[in-house]
Amino acid sequence: MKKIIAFIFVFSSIVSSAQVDLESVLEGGVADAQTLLHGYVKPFSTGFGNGINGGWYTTAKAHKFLGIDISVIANGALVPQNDETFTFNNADYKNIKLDDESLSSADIPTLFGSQELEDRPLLKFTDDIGDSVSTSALPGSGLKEAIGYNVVPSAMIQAGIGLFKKTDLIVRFVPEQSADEYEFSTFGIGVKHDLKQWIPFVKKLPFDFSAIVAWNDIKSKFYIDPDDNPTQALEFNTKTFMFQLLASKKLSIFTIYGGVGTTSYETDVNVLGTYETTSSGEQYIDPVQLDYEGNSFRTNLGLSMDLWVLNIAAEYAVQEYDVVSVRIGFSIR
Amino acid sequence: MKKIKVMKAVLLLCAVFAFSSCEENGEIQFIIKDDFDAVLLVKGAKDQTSFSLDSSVNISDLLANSSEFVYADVESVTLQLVDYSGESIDGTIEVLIDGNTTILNESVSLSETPTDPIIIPEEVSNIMDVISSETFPITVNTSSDEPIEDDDFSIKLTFVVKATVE
Repeated sequence: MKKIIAFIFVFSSIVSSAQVDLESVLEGGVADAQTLLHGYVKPFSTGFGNGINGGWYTTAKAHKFLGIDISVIANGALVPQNDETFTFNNADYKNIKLDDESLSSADIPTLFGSQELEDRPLLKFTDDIGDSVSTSALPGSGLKEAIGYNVVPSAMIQAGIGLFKKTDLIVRFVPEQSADEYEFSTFGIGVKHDLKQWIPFVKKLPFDFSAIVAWNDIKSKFYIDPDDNPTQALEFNTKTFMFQLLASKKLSIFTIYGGVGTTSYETDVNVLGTYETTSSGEQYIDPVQLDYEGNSFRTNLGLSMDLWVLNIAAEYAVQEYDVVSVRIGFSIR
Repeated sequence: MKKIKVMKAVLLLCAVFAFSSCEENGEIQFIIKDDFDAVLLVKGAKDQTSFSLDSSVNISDLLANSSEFVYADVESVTLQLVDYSGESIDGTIEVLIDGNTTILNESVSLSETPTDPIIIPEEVSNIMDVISSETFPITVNTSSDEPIEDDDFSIKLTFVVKATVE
């Protein structure tokens, strides 16, 4: 959770410093800026949407009636190498073109791409009266150079309770946190149900078998200039859904678990508020909307360890972006 | 001068998404390529075969108002006559920056059609000494093969400047 909030603050503070320049972006063409940003940001939105679905469970076995667990989960979605760049096509833009007129397209870095000048071709920005300036494509974050790999982090707090018929209700909930500069809330709900009990013969086999369906909604908003322009904000929302069939086998204090199923996400990044361009005086309301969605097959394998009521687990999930999750918490009954 | 600050804007907006403190190799660098015009008025040169001009161009808006320059050079210059009553001026033109660095000295044919960009040799293209200031001092010395046919016209020089900034 702190990671999310920390990220949000970084997100927010840099937007604050950018607000005057955002108006210049609008003068240069909202549509082009939006197209460019969509490709540049995509790995982050994809990674976050994939990562947030990690850690919903550490066993296929349901709690006993009113058994509970409370956990903290940290996820890292691994950004694949081919998403360190995206293809810039001249034809997709009106006012932005590759400076090298012999090229019609080129690969340029995403947020997780290179910072080196030689990997960032010059882009030529031309305004409505024909003035132009060329500049290097946006750099990547430098995360890979700093820690060795590109990862999108996320974190969650989760609680589960055993109900009837070997069914667990799982809740992820953070009530709305708000301050002058941000608002944040998350709510997620999942249901895990033991399937083995309904299948003749199988219910006698020495492993657990169940299904989980889970949904998560994260809402956040960061005010760019809360004192002077209280309507100007950056909004970042993500909804995720997951369905999996699970199996697990307990061996002493260890449990091996895994699942197969599907995962999906919808993410939107919006710049809200009213913005007026300096030269033309034209007003733009809610000028930038970036929408992302995706779904993929998901299979994961994990190992958890129970030390009395303490439960520690780690798993690796193969999906659109592979996700590593670690989870620590307490589990009773 | 350009009003476009798009790149800087996009950079800053997108840096939002980045973990911007992660760079290990120092400041992130950008190459910016921009151009500016210097229009030099020529008066009283009719029937002469040479003239010299001095001018300073305000470049405070150049290169998206960048201030931290790692390297800057002038890549090319394009020359053009403005409001010249004759056909052309054929001769030799010398362009100096800051009064002492000759970036161009060659035979040209000036007319109201812009010349092709004349590439500035690397050994004289460095303009780090002047790029950080808000003025760009230019000296133009022209010698014509034939007497000048107009007493009041201008020479427009369009400089393409490329800089690495942090």
